Amino acid sequence: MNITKKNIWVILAFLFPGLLIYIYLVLYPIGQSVVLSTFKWDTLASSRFVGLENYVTVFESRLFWKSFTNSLIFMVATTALQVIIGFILGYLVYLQLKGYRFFKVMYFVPTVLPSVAVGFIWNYIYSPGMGLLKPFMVAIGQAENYMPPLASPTLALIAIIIAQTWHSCGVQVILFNSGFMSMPNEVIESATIDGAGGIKMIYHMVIPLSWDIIKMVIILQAVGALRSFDLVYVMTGGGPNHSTELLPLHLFVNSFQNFNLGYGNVIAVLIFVLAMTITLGLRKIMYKESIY
Amino acid sequence: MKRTSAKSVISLVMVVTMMLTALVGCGTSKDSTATSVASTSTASTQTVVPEEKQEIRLMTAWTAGSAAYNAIEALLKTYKTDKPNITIVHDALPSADLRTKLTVEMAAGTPPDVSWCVLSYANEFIKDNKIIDWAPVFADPKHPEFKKWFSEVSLNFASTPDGKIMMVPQEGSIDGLFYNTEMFTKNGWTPPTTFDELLALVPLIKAKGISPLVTGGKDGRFAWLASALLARSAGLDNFNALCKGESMKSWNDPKFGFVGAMEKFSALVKSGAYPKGVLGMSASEADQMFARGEAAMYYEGAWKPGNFQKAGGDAFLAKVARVNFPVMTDSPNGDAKVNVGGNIIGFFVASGLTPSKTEACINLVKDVCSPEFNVPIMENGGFVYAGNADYDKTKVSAVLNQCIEAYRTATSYIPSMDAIAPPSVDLAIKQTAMPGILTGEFDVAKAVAEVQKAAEDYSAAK
Amino acid sequence: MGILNLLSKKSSKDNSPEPNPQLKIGSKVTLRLIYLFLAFCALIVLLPLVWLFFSSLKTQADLTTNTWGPPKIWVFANYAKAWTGAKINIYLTNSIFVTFLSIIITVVTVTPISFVLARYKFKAKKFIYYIAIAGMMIPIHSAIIPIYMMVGKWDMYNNLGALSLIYGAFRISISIFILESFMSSIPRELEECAFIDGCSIWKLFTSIIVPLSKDGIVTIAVLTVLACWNELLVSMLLLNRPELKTLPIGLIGFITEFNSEYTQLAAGIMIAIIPSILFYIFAQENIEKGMIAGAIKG
Repeated sequence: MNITKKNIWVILAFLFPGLLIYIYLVLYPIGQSVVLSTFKWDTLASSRFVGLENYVTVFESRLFWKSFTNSLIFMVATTALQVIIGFILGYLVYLQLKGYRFFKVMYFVPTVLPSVAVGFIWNYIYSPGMGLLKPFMVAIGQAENYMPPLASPTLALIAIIIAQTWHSCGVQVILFNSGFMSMPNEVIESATIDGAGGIKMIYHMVIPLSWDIIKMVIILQAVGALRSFDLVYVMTGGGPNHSTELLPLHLFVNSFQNFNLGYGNVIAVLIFVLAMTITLGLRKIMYKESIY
Repeated sequence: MKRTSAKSVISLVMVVTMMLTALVGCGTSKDSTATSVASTSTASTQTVVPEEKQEIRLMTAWTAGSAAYNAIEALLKTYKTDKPNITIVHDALPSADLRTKLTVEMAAGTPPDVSWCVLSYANEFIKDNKIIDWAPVFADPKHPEFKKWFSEVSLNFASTPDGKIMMVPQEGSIDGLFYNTEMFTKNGWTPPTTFDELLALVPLIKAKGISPLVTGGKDGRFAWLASALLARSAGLDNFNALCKGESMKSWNDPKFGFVGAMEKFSALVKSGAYPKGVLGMSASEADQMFARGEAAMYYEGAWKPGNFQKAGGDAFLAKVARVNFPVMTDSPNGDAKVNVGGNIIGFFVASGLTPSKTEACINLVKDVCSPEFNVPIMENGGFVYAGNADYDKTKVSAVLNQCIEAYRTATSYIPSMDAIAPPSVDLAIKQTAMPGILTGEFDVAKAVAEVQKAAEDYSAAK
Repeated sequence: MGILNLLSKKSSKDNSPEPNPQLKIGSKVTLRLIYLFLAFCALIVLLPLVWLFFSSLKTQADLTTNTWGPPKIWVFANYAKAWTGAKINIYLTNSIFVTFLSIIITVVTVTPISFVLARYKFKAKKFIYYIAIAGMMIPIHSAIIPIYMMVGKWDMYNNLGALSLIYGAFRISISIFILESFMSSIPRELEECAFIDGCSIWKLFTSIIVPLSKDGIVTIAVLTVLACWNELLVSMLLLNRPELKTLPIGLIGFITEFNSEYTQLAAGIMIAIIPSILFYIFAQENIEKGMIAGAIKG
């Protein structure tokens, strides 16, 4: 039965208000920034068309590639960590053991913290002067190997990834949890009766049954990670020596501190292309009908 | 059942409160738009009357809780009674965010009417004539105060090569190598006067288990040190040539001294002057380390005593003293006298306003830059005022008195790197080159090459 | 799509409030290990928050010397100072208003679009879908200058409504992405039945689809709250008047080079997170209820 044809105007009316706002307030400014990526600013108020010159500058820039790599590492690491931890915790909460509501609320709390707060907490934990890591390393007899994480070009990004995971894992727990909740009970029940349990059960039943939600969480997280800005800005400002500079921060620094708006807009376009590619790529890789 | 009903009651209450607050919020926002509409419409109808309604948007870096914030709020209160026709909207943001906002607003063509600003940003804004030239104002007999309050040098601190003056001076500053006197006397150390003495002192201090130097590495607080090193090793002419002259592309040319300056920095780092992990330390953590006696010296500007006091209280502040940055005996071009600092912060007025509004803005700047406004803040330990006004020395700590004294008697100044070099070059120095040397990722040549590249890109854009 | 079908069948005969079976955990040891793990994770989450709470009750000197312990003297002045001195009370009201309005804008615009995209087949559907979710990939910083200029053209600086509209607009993509997939999994037979009964599209939408996708709607609302509640850059640029600023702007003002009120910042953060936690607890109830209620109605 096709009711679409009869109701084409109704459907248009449904689409219209939202899409209008979206096109006007989101797509149009972004379109403008694509145009602006082909301009070069001589002063803040005067610019001229330079074609693809900004793109060449970006691709030749060492710092761009550095932040590009950082962004990829950050994306893969946070996605892997958050999906795995979120999946496990979401599943354990789904088991509805006694007191599960408490845990469910608890795990979500860090996500409501503003980035300023997360930065504040983790800066204290990582602090070279009064942080928790130093006493810990001393306690396990590794005092001479202690390196304040945010001061080391190799450790700083890892430190940020841990803080970010702490901050936003709660969303994954909730998304997974509600995904599990919508799994058909009969199937799970009969599987339990058949004696499937533990890991086997997760592998053969839970993962296939909640594949849609897993797919969605991975894509959301990967794309979200590419746009991460706040926490890095608050915690390290991209340092030491650009080792935690992610693409959005690279954009920010160049647009607003270097007065190089054209360069910044090129980065914006590249983030967009990268995110699009990753989304489509992930969809292709993870394409798989759920069993039921 | 009971539990669920209790929960639904709570959720109902939540929804109702949210809706109420929404209504309240709606009301206030409507009110304020209504008043602003009212004020603009009256402004357009009665342009000739002197009692014309004005709304001035003022941006400062003085956020709630600071001494300066209380002072400015008190000043704005007097406006309400004395000048009821002028409404001032005070937008206070931390300086980093203020710079971002200024950049966006300038690019969009809607700058604030009056704003706190640093020299290097004003340099970018004057290119488009977005801010007024103060030279005629200072010369105007209607405004004799400026010449009275500030020295000739101070008044011209923000001048362009073609003689325009971008800002009125407000905060003055001077660098200092701050040291813990108690620690120095106890161990029989003397504050270094030459760079070699500094390098020789480092192992002695380290032997005591104390960090010789400390700084807010995470916040990239190397701009002052970069200026000091460059001025001491290359001299002012070379310095100015690199930052604003025709030699902008010569950062890697040893003749201009930047290579030498970085070598000195590298030597300092190699001697172990900084604690492991200095790059992970925010400025306030560094202050606290200094205050706890875990670091012996701290090099930066004259606002630091205020921070030290916050970190360690008056008892600690009494132990701190200041000396000039050590001179370099092996650098013939180097300037041994110059101090980093001077007037690097001031207030600008946007151009393109109506004459009467410009006048009102000028008067506001006059109030904010006046000794009456600034001296009490200075006596509170907030910052050093750019003018030469008298102040009560007994209210001020010994080390701040030293700073003010040094500021007023200094023979020449060079601004800190973030106030003089083009922003991208400054970032390359303080966020890339110097941290790179500290982490060991860069040798001097590589660090200089990074700065050189930033400078070349900057010149290419012009 | 079979999933919900089964679910609805199941629920119609069984009205238990728990939507999933109590999976039996075999051995006691496993159970204990699971609890241990859950508790461990809860601790990792909880301890920093307890520390934050302690810090909000310390004096500045106490925080410096006794960073990790409980306060030596409990000082409540930080809350008072943050609440009125730093104007957190005003910022809080503004933030609640903006967040609330953004939720409404998001939900009202996204629900019908997702409905059409999820339930109907037409030529341009794929195209519209991809256009609609493309916004997800864009960092807001890249569009900031055009947006700023646009709002200037409307003369809408210092307008919380305009700010909410922009927030809402930037939530549209991600919300469609989530809600569309929720709605696609509602069994198609439902609407066919409804249609045979002579339901109009509007009726189908409001009395069947919306109630059935309540959980999805709540999810996008929760995610909208998280995003808007903590957004800094856009609000900082669009709001100049001190009486209209939002919470994150207030929070960053505690630590500057003229100011370092760590303990007040901690107090401000504590105040800031209470409403969003309450909102979540309230919404969490709804996520579960919505799922069951929707299924029963169907």
